[in-house]
Amino acid sequence: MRVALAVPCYVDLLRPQVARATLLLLERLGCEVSLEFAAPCCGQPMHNAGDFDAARAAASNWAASAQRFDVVVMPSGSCTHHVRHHLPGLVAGATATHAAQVTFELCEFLAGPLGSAKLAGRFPHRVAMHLGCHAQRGLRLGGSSELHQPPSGPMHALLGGLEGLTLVPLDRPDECCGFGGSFAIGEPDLSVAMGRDRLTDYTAHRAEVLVSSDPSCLLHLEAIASRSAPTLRTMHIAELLEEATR
Amino acid sequence: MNARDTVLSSIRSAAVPPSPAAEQVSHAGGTVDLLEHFFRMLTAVGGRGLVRRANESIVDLVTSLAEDEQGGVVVVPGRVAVAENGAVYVDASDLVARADIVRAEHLVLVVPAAALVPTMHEAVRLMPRGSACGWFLSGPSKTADIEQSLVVGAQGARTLHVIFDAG
Amino acid sequence: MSRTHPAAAAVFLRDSERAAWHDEALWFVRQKRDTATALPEWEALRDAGAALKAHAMGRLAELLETFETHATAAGVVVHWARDAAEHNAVVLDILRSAGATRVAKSKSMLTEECGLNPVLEASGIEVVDTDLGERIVQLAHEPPSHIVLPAIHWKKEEIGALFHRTMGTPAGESSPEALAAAARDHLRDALLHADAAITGANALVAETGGVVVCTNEGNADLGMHSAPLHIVCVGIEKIIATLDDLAVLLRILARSATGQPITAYTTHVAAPRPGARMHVVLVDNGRSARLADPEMRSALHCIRCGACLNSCPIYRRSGGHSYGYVIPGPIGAILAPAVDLKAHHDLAFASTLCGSCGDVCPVRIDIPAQLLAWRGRAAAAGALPAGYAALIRRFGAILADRRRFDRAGRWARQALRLIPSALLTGRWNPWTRASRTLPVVPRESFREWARREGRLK
Repeated sequence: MRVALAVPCYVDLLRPQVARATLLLLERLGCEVSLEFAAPCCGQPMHNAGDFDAARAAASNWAASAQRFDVVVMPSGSCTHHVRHHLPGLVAGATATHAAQVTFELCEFLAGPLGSAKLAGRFPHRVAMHLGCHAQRGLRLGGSSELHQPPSGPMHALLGGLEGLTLVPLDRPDECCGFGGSFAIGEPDLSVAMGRDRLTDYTAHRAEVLVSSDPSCLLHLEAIASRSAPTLRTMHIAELLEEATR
Repeated sequence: MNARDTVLSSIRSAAVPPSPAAEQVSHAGGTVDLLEHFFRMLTAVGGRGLVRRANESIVDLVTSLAEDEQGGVVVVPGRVAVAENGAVYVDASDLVARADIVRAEHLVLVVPAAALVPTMHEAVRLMPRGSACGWFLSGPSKTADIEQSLVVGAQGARTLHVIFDAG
Repeated sequence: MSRTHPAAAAVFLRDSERAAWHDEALWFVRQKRDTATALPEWEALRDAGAALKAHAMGRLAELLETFETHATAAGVVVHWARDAAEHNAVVLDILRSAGATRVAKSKSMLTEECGLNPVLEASGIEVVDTDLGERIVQLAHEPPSHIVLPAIHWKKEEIGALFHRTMGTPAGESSPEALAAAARDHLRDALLHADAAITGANALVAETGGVVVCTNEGNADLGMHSAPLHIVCVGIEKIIATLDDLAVLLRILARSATGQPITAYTTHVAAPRPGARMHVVLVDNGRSARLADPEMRSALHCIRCGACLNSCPIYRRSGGHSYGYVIPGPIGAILAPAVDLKAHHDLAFASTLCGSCGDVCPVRIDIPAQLLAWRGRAAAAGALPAGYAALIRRFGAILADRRRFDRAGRWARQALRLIPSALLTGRWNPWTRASRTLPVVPRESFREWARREGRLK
């Protein structure tokens, strides 16, 4: 299957391992992956900050890059959510609609278009899962407690299929980690308090690994975990799946 | 323009597009044992319920309840009981004074046995037309305003009994 | 309350134990809501709730007129108020005409919004808030911190000390039963001897001309059925068309608010009792303006259940007083900016847009969408700090262009590696000020790696 890998701006800058792992994983599963997706950013940071005009240029560029592809995969729930739900409102015209239709979050892509809901692999560790709010309540990629849905979705299925992996139960399985984009800068005390509480939930249930489908949640939790939970290994789902399927 | 005209004209100039009324909500209420469900909900909200047996009189039942309780017992007819929430509709036209509903320490509601419906959807249709005042009462009065600790008996009844009368 | 939300939140969080206690208390209420709303038809009820509210807004003027006709025919006096000041003047006038000097008031966020109590007190009228939570904050001279649980931020020992000071309860008494019993007696006196009872309304039913009041304590009933005068203060958006709509409302309200299937008392009153008088004051105070704003209109559907507050990870960890507006939490954050964008735009940013509020709203108000829309309006109105706004614009330019981004990224990675961390972790840096560590900076970006590997042209 031919797919384009769209690397989120902050992944390219600060967590390139996530993009590398995504690339390796997709190729291992038989995809032909193009790295020619030129636009660096979908516009989410500026949009989240309220400056829709500043977001528009990046968003427009992003939509233009998606033009030539039938499938675009992003290893980020929040970016995919922004493209699917906000791009058409920001950028008029068919390019934006097309971009919204062909863009998939990684787990969503694996379970859906690629038809690989379960991967053969091994990861014998206690794992705490953080789906991320945009993947969960934005893209509905996981059942949410507010809607009385059992916790299940593409990411759950992918983790559940790995040999030896124990998904640890959590007190608050779908509470926000506190990143929120501009929130992390504008409300730093709350941001950290929320992140700390998530980490306490993970460590209280003796998780060895924290896995998330959103690199921004990860960066945020890592920055706190370095002091609050220094032995917790933090991974993006792409990194975990890539390691598990080697 | 007076306040009324100003407000109404301000609303009208908002030009809100019309929107359809809510569709009926279907529920499984009719398939459960209504009485069992009602008693369970009533107990959960701190009330107590019983069914008058053929050989018992309401007076005897109430008297025996009154013996257990200190303070005044007020017996009031209920028009309909609602299984989903242990509530009973009482209309003010069946009372001497509206304040009786909260002045009584102990309230006993007597409901015709057949007047038990699954949900509020059915119950509101049994409210008397043109009622000046009525209540859905669900259990005794209570508050949880002090650290979420439930305390029964606030400004209304401390106990509430519902008697289903098959007579 | 001129502190911004971040500053107020910082203060709230300084007492981390108390903040955790507050968070757990509200989470407990959220969980009770989850259990009570686990009905097979719950989502259909939310659909019906959303529909009946949108329907009512689409017929608002007509429904209010219908309500007025029925109510007036039944002997209720209906008043209209354009704004808070007019509402207060109308209520004061009704009380003065009746020679009323002692008022028993049951819970009404509308009267909080209009600032009624100080106006009445300034005219020599005593007002006792008879909802236990409201009485606690009234005795403490502070506003409620939650729209349903006004004193949720008070610990029982503190309430005990407050009651000891104001009601003469024994020093050190902190059992909820004893304190509630003391309050019952204290409030009963006010309720039984009031010259007038003021209540809010959870709904107005156009079909019947009825006023609906929901309480657990029965205080609203004790007041309104004892006092010779009953005044209902209510926002115009509270009107619903029919009793069928009322059924839906009563199925979703208490379940969402407190996790109960229904409140202990749900009163439907359409006429004064013989010998007594009843007035209804219909209040606009910005509601019709909001109605004219299609993007923000659905906030008027709010039934004041408080579920969004309980579900909000930010509200739980910062408390209602940190919002600086009569109604806090997610719903408050989308209502307040309409009142004053410059003063309250910070509330639109007091959110991670996690979506929990929208998912628990029993009438499906898309709160996250309105929060985002307010951010846009705040930015467009120049309400954001100039330096920050300029930074975002700069980011926008860099992130829109591949070459600019690659260049800036290279520069940033170099800088982060070369500049001593001591300089980067100063108080000026919001990332590290809240004790976060700086990210480990990679040697090269993904694209640099890909180019090096020959994967990129």
